[in-house]
Amino acid sequence: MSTSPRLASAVDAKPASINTVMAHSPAVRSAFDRMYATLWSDGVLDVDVKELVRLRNARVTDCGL
Amino acid sequence: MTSTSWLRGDLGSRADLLGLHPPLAAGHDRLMETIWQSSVDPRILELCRLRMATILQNRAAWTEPRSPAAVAAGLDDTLVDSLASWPSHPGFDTATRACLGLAEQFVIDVHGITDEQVADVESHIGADGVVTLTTALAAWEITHRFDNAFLPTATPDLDA
Repeated sequence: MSTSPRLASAVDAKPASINTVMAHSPAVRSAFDRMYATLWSDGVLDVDVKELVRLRNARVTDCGL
Repeated sequence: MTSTSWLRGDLGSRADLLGLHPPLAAGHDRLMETIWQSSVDPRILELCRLRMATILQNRAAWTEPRSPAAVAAGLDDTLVDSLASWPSHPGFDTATRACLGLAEQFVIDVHGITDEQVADVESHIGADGVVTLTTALAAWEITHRFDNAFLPTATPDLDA
């Protein structure tokens, strides 16, 4: 499984990574980050449970990051 | 379509369900608005959203109103009706085909996406478009699965 980004970095002098690639679309990145932050900071589930769910989901979907 | 969720009987739509968690609903709405207002042609986005809905068998996405942004941009209903035959239907241009191909691969087998496929999409909509489209695909996969999980009448009877 490839873990090399398929898009170039949008940030000068920085290698391609999930952050520098997402920077190609800063408005979308910002909106995504705000929603993602809400998932972690709000709600009744403990963050420990959320992290276990995240890791299990990553395992099931074979996420290499 | 009338439906109620097993989560709570008085909740009949995705908006109702998301409304149980207002901050999350606001975040979701903000992300969707940003995507629809992006540089990517909203007609392409809507076709990708609907194609994913068919593959994931989410009828709710087909029965709700079409994206206002896509309609305003001139979404062609004949293409919507022909979506299942996009690989061979002459009405789909190369940019739309490239994006639909990525959308299908994303939802069927994301690890099957190739460098060449992403480069092809990038040649049509740019790197910013690829980031926007991919984020949209991820968000819609969640939305479709959310509908399927919580709206029991979103039954699978769509022809792929």
